[in-house]
Amino acid sequence: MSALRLINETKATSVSSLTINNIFSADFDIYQLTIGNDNTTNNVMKLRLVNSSGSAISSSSYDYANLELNASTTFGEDKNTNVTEFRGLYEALEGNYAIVWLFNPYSSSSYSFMLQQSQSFYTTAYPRGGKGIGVLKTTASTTGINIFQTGSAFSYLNVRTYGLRVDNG
Amino acid sequence: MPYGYLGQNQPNQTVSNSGVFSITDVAELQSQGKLGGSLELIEEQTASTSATLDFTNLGNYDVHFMTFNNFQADTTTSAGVYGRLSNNGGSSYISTSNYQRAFFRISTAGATGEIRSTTETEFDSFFSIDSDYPSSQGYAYFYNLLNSSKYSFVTFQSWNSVTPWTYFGGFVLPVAETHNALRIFPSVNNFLTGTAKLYGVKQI
Repeated sequence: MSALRLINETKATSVSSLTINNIFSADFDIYQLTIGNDNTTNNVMKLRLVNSSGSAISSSSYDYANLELNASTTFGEDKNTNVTEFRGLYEALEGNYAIVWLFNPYSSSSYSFMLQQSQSFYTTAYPRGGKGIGVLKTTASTTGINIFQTGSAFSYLNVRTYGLRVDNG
Repeated sequence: MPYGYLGQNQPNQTVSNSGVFSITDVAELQSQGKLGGSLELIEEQTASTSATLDFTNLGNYDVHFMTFNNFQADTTTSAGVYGRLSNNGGSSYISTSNYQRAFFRISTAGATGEIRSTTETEFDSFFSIDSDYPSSQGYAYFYNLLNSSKYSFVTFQSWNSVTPWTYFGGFVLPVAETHNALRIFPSVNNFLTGTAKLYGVKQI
């Protein structure tokens, strides 16, 4: 049996925001998300963590850095500090698919850290991949995620959450 | 709500990340098909002086995970390790110039490079192999291979022992059709060693 444990699967259509709460707990420190989506236009998927009251944290406490891997144009960088969400996950008509790792989101003594790698078909002409990191600089415990975008809606969104089991040996 | 993983006072398990279910949870999760680990091994193939590793059973998943371990060439000629998809169960593999790629590489000597193109005839490349160098390793996620209405996407990261480099990035085969077999192969000559494991990532 592998060490990943499926915790939640959520699907949505025609939404611009999706909150999935009560997926983080004291049972795991490390979580993997698989995210698949289509969109009607190019856009940037944004990710926030949700506090124990069920509200997405929107304070300017997020830092992130992402390398844009473009198949037909020069690679780019997208990075920010003290912003209101994680960015760097792209989306487009032909889809975006991402693996996101979250470290210590439930902890009340550690910042929450994020690793992600994604692949999209960012325009009708070429793919755009992303490889990035992020941190939410608050030690407050979080229990879920909020995925959203501005200016358009996800045609389709499928998010699975797994916990990573660790044994002492 | 997450299920009631029992973390405390279990032998050989840490308090957090324990992932131990209660009996009630086991019964409920089993009834939903959710019980068990979430990386489900579909097939393992080990190369031995072979030119191709073909995976013709992809199960029924929309996300696949592959590990590449201990890949080595049988000669001192460097070879890229490529991938191709099939739309006919492995009777043939697509070699038209439709594959697209974008990945970054960083060498241990400090060199960096952008690798990008839109007219490849395969996933070029996950990493390279050459018997003058140690073996190469890596992993890849494949998305939507079996979905007839979606393009097929790949993300990967590898340790390319030739130089050496790390590669990370992705590929797309922008053809919306069912891709029901996957071939891993060296650009020239044969594999001497190498084990590839294909997993399905559990879904409901």
